[in-house]
Amino acid sequence: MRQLTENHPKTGQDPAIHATVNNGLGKYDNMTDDAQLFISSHIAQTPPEHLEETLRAIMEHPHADVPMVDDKGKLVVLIDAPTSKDAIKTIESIQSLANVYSFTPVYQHEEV
Amino acid sequence: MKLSRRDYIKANAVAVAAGVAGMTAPSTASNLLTESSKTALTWSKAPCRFCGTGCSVMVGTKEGKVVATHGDVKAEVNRGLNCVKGYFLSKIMYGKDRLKTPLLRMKDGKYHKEGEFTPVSWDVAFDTMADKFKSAIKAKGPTSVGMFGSGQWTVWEGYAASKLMKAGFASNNIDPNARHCMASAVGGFMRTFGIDEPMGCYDDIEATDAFVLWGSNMAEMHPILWTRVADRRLSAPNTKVAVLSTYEHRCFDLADIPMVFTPQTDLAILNFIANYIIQNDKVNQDFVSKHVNFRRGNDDIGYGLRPEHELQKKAKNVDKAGGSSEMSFEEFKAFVADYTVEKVSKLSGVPENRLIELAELYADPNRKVVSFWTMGFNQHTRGVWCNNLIYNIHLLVGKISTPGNSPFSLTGQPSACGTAREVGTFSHRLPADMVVKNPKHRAIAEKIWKIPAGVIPPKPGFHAVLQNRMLKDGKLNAYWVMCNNNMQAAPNFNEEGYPGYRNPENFIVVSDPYPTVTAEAADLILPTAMWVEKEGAYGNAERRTQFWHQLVDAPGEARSDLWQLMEFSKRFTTDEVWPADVLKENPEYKGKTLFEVLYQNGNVDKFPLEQTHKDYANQESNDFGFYVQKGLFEEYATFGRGHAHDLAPFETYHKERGLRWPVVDGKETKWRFKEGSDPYAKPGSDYDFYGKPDGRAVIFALPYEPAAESPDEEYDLWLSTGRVLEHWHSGSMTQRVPELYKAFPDAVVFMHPDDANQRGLRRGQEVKVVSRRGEIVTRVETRGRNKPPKGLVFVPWFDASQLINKVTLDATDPLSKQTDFKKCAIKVVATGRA
Repeated sequence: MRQLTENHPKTGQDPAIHATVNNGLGKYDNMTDDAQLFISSHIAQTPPEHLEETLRAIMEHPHADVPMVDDKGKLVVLIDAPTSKDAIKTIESIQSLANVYSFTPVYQHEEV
Repeated sequence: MKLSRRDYIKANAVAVAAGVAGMTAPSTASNLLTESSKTALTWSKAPCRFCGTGCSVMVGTKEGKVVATHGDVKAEVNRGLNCVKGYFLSKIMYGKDRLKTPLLRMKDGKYHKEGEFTPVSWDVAFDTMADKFKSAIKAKGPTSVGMFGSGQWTVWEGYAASKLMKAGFASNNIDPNARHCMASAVGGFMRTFGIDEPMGCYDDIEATDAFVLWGSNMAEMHPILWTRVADRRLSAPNTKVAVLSTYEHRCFDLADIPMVFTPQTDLAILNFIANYIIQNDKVNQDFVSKHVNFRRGNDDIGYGLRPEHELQKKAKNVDKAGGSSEMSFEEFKAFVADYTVEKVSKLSGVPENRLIELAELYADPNRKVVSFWTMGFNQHTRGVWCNNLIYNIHLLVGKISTPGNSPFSLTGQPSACGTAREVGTFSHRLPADMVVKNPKHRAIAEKIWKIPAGVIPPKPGFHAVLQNRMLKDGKLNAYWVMCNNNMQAAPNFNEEGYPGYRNPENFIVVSDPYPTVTAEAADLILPTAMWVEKEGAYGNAERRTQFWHQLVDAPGEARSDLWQLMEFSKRFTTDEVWPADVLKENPEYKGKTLFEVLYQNGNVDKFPLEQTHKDYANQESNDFGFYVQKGLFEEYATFGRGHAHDLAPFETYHKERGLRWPVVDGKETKWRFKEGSDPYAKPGSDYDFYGKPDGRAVIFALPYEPAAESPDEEYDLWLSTGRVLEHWHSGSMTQRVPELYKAFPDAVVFMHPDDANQRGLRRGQEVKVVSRRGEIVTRVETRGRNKPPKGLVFVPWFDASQLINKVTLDATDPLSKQTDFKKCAIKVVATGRA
């Protein structure tokens, strides 16, 4: 078999990546900065019979608020986090709550 | 009440979410008094930059930067929703390694193929590039130059590029990356209906009783449409969802009829359904007798490999792959009779009762049905056949072109339809479904473009996979890659991709916002403006054309692809590139620049700068001195108006959330080919498949044939490649968004736990995925979102540090020339490291 471009022995990465321009592709130290202001809103869906417990479970998250709910099991969730890292942690945690069927992002605002 | 800026943003976020959820927001949110300087964001609409769904997003800018986005509640497509990629759209333009200046490989102050990338001016970049293009054309003629473009180009970028290549350089060697994505769908449409693109629209989702997903993983690849499918399934309990795939994925959660089948046997399943419909007397005889012809397609057509490959030499119809002959319904009935439930169940591995349940969805006259497919059918060595065979089924029962009855080919790129297909950026195509080999079509294009007869060559150019082969073979020498990442995306990287780019005979130019794998393999990199850094237009999978304005400036010296194409054209005169005999007969064109004949032709420069919107910047128009986008669009629209591809006037699209063509008398068309909903269907016809001269669609008899490469003793597993929700295609944008990167940082090989055990592998272990062509290093994943059956593994291709296309095979559909990225034989072995 011909392997024109052998993988790097230590990292297993492709040499094309190490080629020239940025030496960063595949390492991703080239991403956008973490935000200092991160506000987002989402819609959570839960079976109506679990609305109250879901509401409380979301409210236990330090950066999350639930300004609106309806009796069909929809909750508007507002996240105001100091950094995007905190926001993502919050989002992931809410997504994994029992009885949260879907957690759809709607609005996203961030400034570095 | 006085609110802080933070409170204002929060109130706005709540109000938008409440609107999307259908709740009434508290009155404070809609009646805010605050200091406007602290809160002022400018909001404008734009279609999403990613997939072919065509969601509209509201984009908030502040001080020249995009800082916020939310789903557009006025958009019919997504009704305020976003997927996770769309949610982070505002960040894709701000990666730290954004390219801001042209970079040329140089040694000792001069261009050198092995040199280091060095910042240069646009003048040096274009002069070097023009020199290489001119010397290639002089030495070997126009077939030695080429371009690889994109279904992510805006409509006018694709149009300007197609003109530059076909009418400027007199070369048909332009192909879009949509060749990897949609070519089989195009082939299917043209063969069955004689006209491209879906007859239905997304409104079918809320109108149907059954969804059948053929290989499509909409839950991850078209999440907003999947939300609509799930809503329909949950709100109308009689609705059924059938999911067919070669491995279990997230869509199976909603499936009433889940089916995992052996790769390539979809061909047999499709024929079984046709057979079931006929055997059970469920054919819609009235529809079939009035609106359908039957034809037998040529079989044994090869696998689109190099001619010296054994499989090509063995196949009997390599040169006549597209051929077909007339047949009767009775002959078709006899042809599919071979595909019994017993035989197909054995071949495909799908239980008989499931196959019958599936067939019954189509056969039951009281059930409407929508079929969805994307890469599972299209990236297939028999991709056009798959498309033909699914239309067979819908045509046999007459379930087509009416609300809820819809064979629906989805697209993967935001303008695969709008740009790649409608504009005709393929190596064999011209705008509005016309083709270069038809002399009448060339004459129409030459007339609209105001160029002399004989400039557009009659022979189709090199398609995507052939371009790589020709680069390697030294026949294609000056090459421009724009708006795609084909080094990562094209099959067989080691043998057919990389060698061509680094071939010392060749000069490779890559235009991109970021240093991708493709850019790094090039000789010259041009920094590109992206998304809302330019005025644009996309066309989505339901024929919806959408516009946006330039909302922010591109960083540094980055310029849009449109500007690059037009500016580059100034460096060539007709004498350098057009056939001498054509110029001899048309001396008035002598000595003119390509810019003059292509873009200052009285059409493209027709609309003055003053017509651009006063609230939005427009870099290209300001630079060239006329409303470039409008001129290109209106010239392009001439091709389709009156020919069933009618587009509305330019300004309309800046106001609307898109319109589905044909737009006739200001009205869009939701269902084509049906009298009453399609203005082109002849009165009294009921259904009119007017793409064919006799108004009849074609049912094709096409057999099951095996894949190009199947597992054997040494390479004992199937490899399927694909995508994940968080990353879009090669990841050059989404991998730069930290939230998306962290959600799915590195590619893995999804495999069955028993397959891992058998090889002594455990979850998380480092392994090599090896084929006859190459290998990658990755890690084992035996849990999570994808659950392959025993004998098959799945590797996503977004990860630039794990180039899975070193492993894939460059077998293509001989009809569509599209690669089968879903099937090749591999083995998985431990690296010996943890």
